[in-house]
Amino acid sequence: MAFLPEEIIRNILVRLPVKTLIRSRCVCKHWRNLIRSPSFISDHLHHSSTHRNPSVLLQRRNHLWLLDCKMRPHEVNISPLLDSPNTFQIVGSSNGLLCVRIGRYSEFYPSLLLWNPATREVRQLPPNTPNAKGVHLPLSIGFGFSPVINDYKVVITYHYLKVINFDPVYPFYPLLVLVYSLSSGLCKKIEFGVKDVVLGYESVTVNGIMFWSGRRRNPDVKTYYYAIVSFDIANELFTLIPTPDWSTSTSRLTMYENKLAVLSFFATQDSESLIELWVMEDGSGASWGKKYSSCLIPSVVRPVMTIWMNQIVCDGSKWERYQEPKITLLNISANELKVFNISKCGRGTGCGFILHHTESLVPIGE
Amino acid sequence: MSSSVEAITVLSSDGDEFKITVSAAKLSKPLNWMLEDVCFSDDCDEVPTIEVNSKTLVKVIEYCEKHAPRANSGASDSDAEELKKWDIEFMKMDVKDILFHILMAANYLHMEGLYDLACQTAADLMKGMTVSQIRKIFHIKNDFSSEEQEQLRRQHPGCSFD
Repeated sequence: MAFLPEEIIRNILVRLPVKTLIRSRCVCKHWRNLIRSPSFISDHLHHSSTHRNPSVLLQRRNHLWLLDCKMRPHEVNISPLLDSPNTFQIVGSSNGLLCVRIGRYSEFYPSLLLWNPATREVRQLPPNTPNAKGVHLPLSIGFGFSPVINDYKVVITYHYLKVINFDPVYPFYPLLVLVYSLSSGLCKKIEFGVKDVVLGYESVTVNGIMFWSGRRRNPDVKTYYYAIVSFDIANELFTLIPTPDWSTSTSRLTMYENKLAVLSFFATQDSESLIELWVMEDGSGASWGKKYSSCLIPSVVRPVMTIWMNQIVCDGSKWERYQEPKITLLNISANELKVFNISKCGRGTGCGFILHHTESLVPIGE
Repeated sequence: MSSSVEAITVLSSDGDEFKITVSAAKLSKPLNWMLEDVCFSDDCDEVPTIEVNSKTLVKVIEYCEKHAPRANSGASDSDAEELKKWDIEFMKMDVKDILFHILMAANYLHMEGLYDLACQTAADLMKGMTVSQIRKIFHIKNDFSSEEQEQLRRQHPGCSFD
């Protein structure tokens, strides 16, 4: 019988799914300590994200599904997340951790959780009730990891409008921003520092930089332009990123080939539309390149959050009652549409909210 | 090394002689170094020993001979597909008896492809195993105290320890 050296044991364990690793922690003390060690957790994450077929997480109402590369849904157990019937929204995913807001969308101070669905660890963020006057708009939440400081941060931005004579007055008031760090467990207030910009509700993190889509006011006229704001998770600075003019389109932020990318959606006549993929070639936004332009596609097909295995993930559902929910994948290299019926993942219109997700052992701690 | 040599002879740790073609031997870095060494020149009759037992060496050489044409010339997609199927069949072997020996041999002979394949095979086998089955195949002694074991049972309610 061969007694395997540690190096080989490690190389076998790193290929296991989280479920089997959790079981393997019970084999002996040495394995338990090995599987718990930060270097193993990081090797395992690296192996999973480079060798496994990436999966996406789909939220439809109060259910979560992991879709594998063949679009087969596997329901995710959400019991650690919700004790009582409540509604939740996944707002971000990073290295196997999810940031979840509990409560209705209109709630100004929802409770926020960090959750690792694979290990079932949950941590509640400290309650956030910044004392500020004005009318709120729904808040935007970003979640991401910075390899520079080896830390995860949640960024919560509160929008306030100044109200004069019962009318909201533009420009938007400077944002109030709270940042929570997973390693310190503390929440603190920081400066937004970017003028005349209001952030949208979606953000994406690429290489330790969080990007938000938003709107920027033209100082001369009361019009608004599409804008992208970056947030460096390490030094906590916001910066306005120059973009090409997509003012006539709907845009979504995503990641493509490890760079920030924008999916622009143009409606044309005859119920057809066009999707373009733009990639930010440098870190500052000085150079953008158009990587892909689709053929004319039915206008019912709209891009959702992400690009997955070289395919733009789109909603393919007709937003009418009794229509079956569908996901349409638009292959970038082949310029081909593939439609998947997802009625297995529950009823209701629209395909739901989709984001990248890799199962990991990353701990959430105390 | 003389270019006329097409196959070389090596000894297993059990002392048996094995022939391996030069192109197949190139899949292993240490064997490749040996090839460039004087050992295999025409006027040398010393046969090098590979620290791998005969049973394992047979399998390792079988793998090398199968993979050598592709590794040396590159292959089409259909060949790669065929090779993948062959790998799956090749890896259908007893874990304790031979798979772990293959793992050690692939590690010792720096054969990345075979090493990855064997690690993945071992990992796939572990997925369906209980904790005690894993202990058994890896020859690991349960060193948790009964209190710790009780605690583990509480922490892993769905987990089978037997």
